[in-house]
Amino acid sequence: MTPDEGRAPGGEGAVVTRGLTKRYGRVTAVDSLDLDVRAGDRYGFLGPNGSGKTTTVRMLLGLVYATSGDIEVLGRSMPRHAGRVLPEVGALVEGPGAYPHLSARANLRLLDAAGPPVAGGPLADGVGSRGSRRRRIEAALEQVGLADVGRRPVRAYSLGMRQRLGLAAALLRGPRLLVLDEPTNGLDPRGIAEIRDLLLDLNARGTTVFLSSHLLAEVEAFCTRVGVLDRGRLVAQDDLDTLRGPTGRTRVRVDDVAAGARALGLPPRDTERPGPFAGEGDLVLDGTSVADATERLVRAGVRVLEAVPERRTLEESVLELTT
Amino acid sequence: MSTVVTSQARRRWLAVGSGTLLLATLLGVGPWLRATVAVEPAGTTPQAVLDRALASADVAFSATGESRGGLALPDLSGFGDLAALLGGTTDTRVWWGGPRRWRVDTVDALGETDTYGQAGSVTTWDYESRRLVTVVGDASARLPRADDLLAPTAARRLLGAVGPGDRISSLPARRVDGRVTDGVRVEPGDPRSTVAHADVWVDRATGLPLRLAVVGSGGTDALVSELSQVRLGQPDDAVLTPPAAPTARRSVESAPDLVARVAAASPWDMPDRLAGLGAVGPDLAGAPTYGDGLVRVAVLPLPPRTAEDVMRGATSAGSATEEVDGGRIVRIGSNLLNAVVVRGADQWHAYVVTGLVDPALLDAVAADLLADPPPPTRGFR
Amino acid sequence: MIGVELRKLLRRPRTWVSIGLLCLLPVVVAVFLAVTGIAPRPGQGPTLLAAVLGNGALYPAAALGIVLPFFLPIAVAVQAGEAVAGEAAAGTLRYLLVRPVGRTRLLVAKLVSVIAYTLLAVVAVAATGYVTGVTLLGTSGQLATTTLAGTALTPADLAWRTGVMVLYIGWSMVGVASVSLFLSTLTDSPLAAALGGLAVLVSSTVLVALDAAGAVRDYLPTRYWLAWVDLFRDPVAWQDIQAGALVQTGYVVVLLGAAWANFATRDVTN
Repeated sequence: MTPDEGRAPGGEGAVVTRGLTKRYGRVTAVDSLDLDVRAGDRYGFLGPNGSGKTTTVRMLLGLVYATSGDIEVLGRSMPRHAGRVLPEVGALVEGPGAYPHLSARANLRLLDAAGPPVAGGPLADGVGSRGSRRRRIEAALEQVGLADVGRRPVRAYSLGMRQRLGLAAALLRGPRLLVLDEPTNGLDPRGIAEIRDLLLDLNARGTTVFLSSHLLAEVEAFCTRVGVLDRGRLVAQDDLDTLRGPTGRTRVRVDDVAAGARALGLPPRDTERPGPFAGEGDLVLDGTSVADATERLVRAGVRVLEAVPERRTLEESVLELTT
Repeated sequence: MSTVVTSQARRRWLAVGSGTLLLATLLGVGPWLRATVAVEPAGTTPQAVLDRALASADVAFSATGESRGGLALPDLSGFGDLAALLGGTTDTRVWWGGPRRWRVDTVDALGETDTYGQAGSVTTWDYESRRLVTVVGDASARLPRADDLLAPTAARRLLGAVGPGDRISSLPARRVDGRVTDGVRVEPGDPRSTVAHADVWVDRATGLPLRLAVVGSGGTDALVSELSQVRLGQPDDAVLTPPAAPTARRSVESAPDLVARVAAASPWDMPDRLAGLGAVGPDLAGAPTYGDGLVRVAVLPLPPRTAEDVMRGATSAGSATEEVDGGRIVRIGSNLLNAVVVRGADQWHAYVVTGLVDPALLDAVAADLLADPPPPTRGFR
Repeated sequence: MIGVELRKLLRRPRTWVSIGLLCLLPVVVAVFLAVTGIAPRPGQGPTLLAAVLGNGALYPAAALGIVLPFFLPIAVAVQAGEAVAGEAAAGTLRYLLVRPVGRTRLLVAKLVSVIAYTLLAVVAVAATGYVTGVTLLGTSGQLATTTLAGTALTPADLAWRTGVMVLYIGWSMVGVASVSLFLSTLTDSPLAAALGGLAVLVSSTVLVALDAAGAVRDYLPTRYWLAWVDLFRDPVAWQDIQAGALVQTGYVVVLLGAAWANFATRDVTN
């Protein structure tokens, strides 16, 4: 895979930073960050709380100004071209924000009217913002599952509903790039799944998603590329599959561990040193391929329930990288 | 802490800062420039300037005036706004058509008191009491009014009193209210005066005194009166006519205040000389006046009951009563204006002796009055 | 964006509650005056109030005189303090900015909204004053409508003088607003911005009354606040009104410049 594959025509990256640094007084919140988010990516921006994720997201959006370094979003430098870049970006930063005394629709109407006329993007119809506003608002509310929310003021919403409203606001203009900071906060598991499906669908239609989160599982379940931030530094940035690469070991699950161990010529189970015994019925084998292991077990009459090349979990990779 | 937009921020703050600085400079330096730049030095003698000022009563103008008095006087009942007038800031609006056709408004945030001068009468409209008082005839004596402190009126009165013993000199010309003025300084020749000097700035074009500053011997400004927003020309007739408010309480009187009533009813035949000072016509406050040049002492006879009130008022304001030969006196002092309330032992003779002079001179006048009480005028008794 | 801000202003319950409260005080005063018939002694109490008994036509001016020293500045300072800091506190500022709305444009829209609020409040007080004045105090009473100089005022005279007064007081309040608007770009707390603006006013009021501060007195924001009284003199004394309008303009320009310089390059972290 060459680095240019998967990029939008023109070969631009969706988000590219070089040496991005932000200092607050003596504290360095973000330290020479070189992000490379390609068009079409589902990029997971992973890091513990306080690692500088939100500051980075704010810098990408022109809310916070970098101490040094360059930012390019959708091929244009930020914050200089904010006026041309941001209309094509949908964002959810540090929780949703809405006027509590207004309904969801009224909030979206005000927000949409505040911005410049609709320019482009997959969902925009180019009719001009006023004519299509009602339709776009309904579509966005439909997408996030708030279509039947009625005229209640936002004050009466649950946290999850507010989060959905924030997402609807980000989707309003059919952005080419979605920058989402902890988008599933306050959502129940079903809501999380719904939102994930929505984002997958949008991504399939060409929207790049930049998802910042401290939840490994969320990133692992959704993203194709991952950047790992630790104390302001980018410690890894790679495809999810690469980060979760095979360990070279084989994991087999058998119905009789003792028999399996014998068949494979392993020492018997020792409570002091677990050795290859992992969990109830799992054996982890060094230097034995899946094919070899299954063959030997089947020959010995041990029933194999599962046999896979062992992969690191993302958690393991991240813990390895950040400690 | 610098960011990628620091230079931009710096440019913006620089623009705002320099704009503010420019504005402040214009406000600060502007008036100074206006007052000093392009003022040709005076080409006349101080005496000529003084004469022009004295002859300026007919110059018609409209203006706003401000007078600041620095005299700390006790608030005495019966003496109206005297303490406020001489001890505070008075804002006025003036329309001057001539000595017998003028209007002076004393304005503050709560209302105004308007005085209309007309031939043979002075009408006062007081908004706060909704009273329209017309005083017919010119009282021989009365308390100072706001219009007496207007720069032209006060300056003419002061310059009119200048005697041969007083020194006059030129001050550098300057602008007052944007108009070129010639300055005259008057210094009393008599050391008993409490006035160190008085400066008058006289409009070069019209002779109108635009600014007057009287400095006491203590070195502080005792009275500063200045006109601004001066527009020359006859004021509108409608402005100079007293209002015909249908709901006002109207009255016509012949004496405007306590002093005028007292002076009109004075029972004593006052002597020609007191403490070595000769009598001159009724002056500043209209009472019988002694002295010459800038040293003037006014002697106002009081009815016994009023005298008692005034003495009580003065002592309660912090002055001490002193027993002297033939009666009692109370000194009311300020840095510039001094006064002595005198009460004869016979309970009938009582006076207020006042002037811009040394208290010792007033004591001497008081002693003379007590030692040789004036006889009643014919017709009394 | 300006339209959006105005819609926000008008749809906000607090706007109407605050204006309603502003209008309530003059109504209460009018009710007491009408019921008891005891007018304050002339020269005491709010300016012109003494003249309104039995003469409701002057009441709009008196009503503004009642709310001017205290309630109006508070309402305006709170409104202006909300402008940017309120959006920040509600978490909506960042979404407006990434919509995107240019920061300068946002500031201008906020200013227009604050000016609209101020005018709305002043006009509402004047209108309430007129209605209550005419209904409760009547138009034909023992006192004719006169200027402070005692000359008669025709209804047309009174109308334009009251109109200019509304504009003048409105502009004075915009001066107040610009202080709070500037502070509103400095802090994320709307309350702090509003209180800061009020603190400036109180300091200014203290200094205006202090003779020792005479050198700067004429440049203080509250110096010419009461100059609207000059509109009811005869002839009208325009000098202080002009000076007041200029001083307020100076403050508005400088403070908005500072607000712009600060906000346009500031990190938005809320």
